[in-house]
Amino acid sequence: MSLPSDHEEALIARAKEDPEYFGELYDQYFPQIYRYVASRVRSQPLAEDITSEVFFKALRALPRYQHSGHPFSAWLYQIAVNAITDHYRSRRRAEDSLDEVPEPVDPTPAVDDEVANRMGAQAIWDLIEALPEQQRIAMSLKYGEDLKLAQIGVIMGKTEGAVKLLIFRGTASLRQHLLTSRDDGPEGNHG
Amino acid sequence: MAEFPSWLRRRNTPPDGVDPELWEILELDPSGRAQHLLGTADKIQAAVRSGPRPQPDPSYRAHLRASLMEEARLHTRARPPRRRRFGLALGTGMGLAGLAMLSLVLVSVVVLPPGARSVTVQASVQGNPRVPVTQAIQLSFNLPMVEASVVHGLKIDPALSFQARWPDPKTLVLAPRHDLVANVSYVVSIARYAAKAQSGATALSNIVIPFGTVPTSSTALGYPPSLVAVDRVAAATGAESLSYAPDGELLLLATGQVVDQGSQLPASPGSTSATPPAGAPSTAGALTAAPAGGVIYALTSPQAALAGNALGPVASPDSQNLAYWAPTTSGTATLEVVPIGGQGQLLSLASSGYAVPQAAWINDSELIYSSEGHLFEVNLDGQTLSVFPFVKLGANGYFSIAPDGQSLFSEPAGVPTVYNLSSGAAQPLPGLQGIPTWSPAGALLAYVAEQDGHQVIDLAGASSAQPHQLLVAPAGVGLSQLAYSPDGSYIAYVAETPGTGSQVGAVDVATGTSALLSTRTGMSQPVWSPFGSELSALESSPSGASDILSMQLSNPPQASSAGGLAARAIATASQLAQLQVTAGPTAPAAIAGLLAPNVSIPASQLLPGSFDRFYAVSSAPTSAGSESYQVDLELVQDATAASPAAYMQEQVTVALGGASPLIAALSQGQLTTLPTGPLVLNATTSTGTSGATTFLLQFDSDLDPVTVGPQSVTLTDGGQAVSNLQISYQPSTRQLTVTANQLPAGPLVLTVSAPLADVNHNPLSVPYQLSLPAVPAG
Repeated sequence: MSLPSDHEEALIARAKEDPEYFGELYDQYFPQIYRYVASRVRSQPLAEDITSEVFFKALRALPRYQHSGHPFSAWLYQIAVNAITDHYRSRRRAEDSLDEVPEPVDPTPAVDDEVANRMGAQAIWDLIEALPEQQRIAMSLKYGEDLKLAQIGVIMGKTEGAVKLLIFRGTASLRQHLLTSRDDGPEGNHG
Repeated sequence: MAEFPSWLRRRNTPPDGVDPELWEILELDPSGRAQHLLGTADKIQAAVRSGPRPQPDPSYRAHLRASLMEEARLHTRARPPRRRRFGLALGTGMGLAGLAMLSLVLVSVVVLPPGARSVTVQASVQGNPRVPVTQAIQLSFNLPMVEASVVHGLKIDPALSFQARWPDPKTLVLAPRHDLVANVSYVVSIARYAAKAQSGATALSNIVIPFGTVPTSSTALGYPPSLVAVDRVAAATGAESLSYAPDGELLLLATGQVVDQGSQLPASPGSTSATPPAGAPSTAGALTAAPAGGVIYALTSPQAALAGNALGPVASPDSQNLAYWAPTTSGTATLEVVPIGGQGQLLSLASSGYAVPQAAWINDSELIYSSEGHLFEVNLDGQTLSVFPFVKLGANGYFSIAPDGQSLFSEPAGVPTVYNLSSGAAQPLPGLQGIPTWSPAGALLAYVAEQDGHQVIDLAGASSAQPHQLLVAPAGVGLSQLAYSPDGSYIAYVAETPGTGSQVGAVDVATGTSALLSTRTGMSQPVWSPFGSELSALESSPSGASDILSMQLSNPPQASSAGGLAARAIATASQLAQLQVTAGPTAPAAIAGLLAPNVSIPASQLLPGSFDRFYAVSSAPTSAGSESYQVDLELVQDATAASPAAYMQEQVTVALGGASPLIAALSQGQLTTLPTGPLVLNATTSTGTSGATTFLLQFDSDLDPVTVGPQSVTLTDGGQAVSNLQISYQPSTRQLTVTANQLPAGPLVLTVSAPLADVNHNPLSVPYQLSLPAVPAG
């Protein structure tokens, strides 16, 4: 949840002068930024490391921050998205050098859609992780954080139209994967 | 938009409840199948929101804040000093208090920062769905607060009577006068303007702190197995331990003599006064440092002494052989096997460097044992083989194999660890304390832990470090010697109460309900018979000897046979669930796991993303002997600043039998806002020997005692009001007792309604009614 715009603007202005006010911004936005980071990296120590990085970067860059009418949280999300991307890129480089075989996706189809929602949560997670990076970021911000397209556009540095297309393509691709997985699933699981 | 094709301009109205932006995205589908994509979008949303989101370390948030503040101050100091604008900005709603503060500022020359900061708070229980019922609630504000204002505007729902304490002006501790109610969603709220700081600042919105309590409590009404009869099997001096062979033979390890109904058993073959069995190492001249072995007796007819100088007896799966360790004078031990039936010779199979080693049968002719930090397999021919090299043992060589043979528990370097014996994977369980007990299915470990000054029984999944709290003992009561029933339904335990002594109790794994099985004291070593129909234990006597008792159990519990209510003497109802919950046969082990989040079936499969927690109300086979179970759940959405708490009933059919449980069907009710005011959590009825009928209602809230009386509680018998009701309320347990001094004739209806109210003056918004049918003639 964001602060009222005028209050937030005043708070940011004061935070540039007085560190105590940055603490107030931190109190306000820590839960949602940590939650977002944790949902993306799914590891407590890593989520803590990246969240720390986000707020330290925000603190250091705050004097240059210009309030543009978008919520302050959009800026923090932007830093978080970049930090997570950096993490995955560095990890991928390390994994590539080891020539590791990726874990196979093991979706578990179920008796009906509602059950599939539960049984296949892990499989859906795995499929999202396998999407192209930009689609993955756009989908996590829309589906996970319920952000507006305009905010996602600000975070990703893209137009609303481009964000729409990313989410659409990711959703359609994931649907295709789910259908394929179901067709391939063991019969016993169909109930 | 020129770059997009023309079909993009077609726009349909989004279905009800669908985010218009999301619909706009899905309508990009060129084949017009937005509705199909919506199903996928729902799944993604549910998966993303219900997916694993690890919680930060509790101290992490505060540490990061402190680090940020330190760095921020360094940055501020590094910058050239700026002229500071001093002033006082009056916060909204400050009014006269602000003027008063202004004069104070002028007199004492206190300089306030520009603008009043808003009040924020962190709570020790914030969002925690499993708060222990004994826990106090600590609120940490960012500013020194106006204490009276905060307490005046603070409310806890369900109503809770509490003491407010301010260790400092920024910290408020709410100490409930009685334990919290288990299995309940609480909300602490503070009205925005009541959350007022001494600076005049207020919160930006109402403060709402939701949390939930652990699903079970020792104070809950429950249906543990009841005791039908107690038999004295034998008496013994120096009784050490009891165990059952799989065929039901009761085995006793004792360092003294066993007396059976007045007659003394034959001399113990390995006792200090008897000749050791042939082949057994001599104990003559044993060093005092070596543990003393005892005699193993078979207590079921015919009673016999099976082996002497023995430790740690374990019967083979076919009950034909008994393995045990014979301590040697050098501080090591020899693994020996004797036939239980008396035919055949003693086998000396292996030796171990540990003083008290472990051994476990893996089939009828092979054992696993520990020696010198490693595990070995030995067969009855004495051939040994080093096995499971990945398993690390603790200094004493202790290990425990799960009954399914798939997992093994040990404590390498003092760290409780479960090994998967197939993959070699090690799962540390750092929260586990003491020696755990495996569930019969091998999926759970039960152990005693310490929490907030109370001893608790926790269950941990063999592959999960997240424990599930099953039972909280009252303060000062010690728990020990856990024993799983063979079907996994119950855990027997020994409760040591200061001034009373040790008693045997049992807790229902599915519901967490618990009770002591008898008033006998001096009890120890409870063990279940192979079929779970009886529980044997030792009872010490002042003479130093012990009685070996066999307690016959009955489940479901039998109602009092007095009076005509026997057939309907136990009825429970959940006002929240709006359904009757009967005390039927308890669920088997696999379902018991289902009732515990994070165990057996991942909670994410039972809990849709939009809900915060669930509770299992009941579970039962869909038909007799079926491997399919129907489980009733309550899904709970905690209150937020924008919406009140709500719940939904859900019925899940779980099919067992495969490699893992499978959700075979699922149906849901309507999402319903929790009614306000007190709720009846459950109720019991009973008939005493005098014929008096008693109703016991358990509430979730602290009731206002003034509202409890005939004006709010009525009872009709065959439609006629019953007069002379005795109505009492016990604040410490939140139990309302209603007693009618007569035998009922017709259908009974107990009604509780407003003006009954809680201590927050919220009246009962949904009347509670408990109906019992007429007693059948004869």
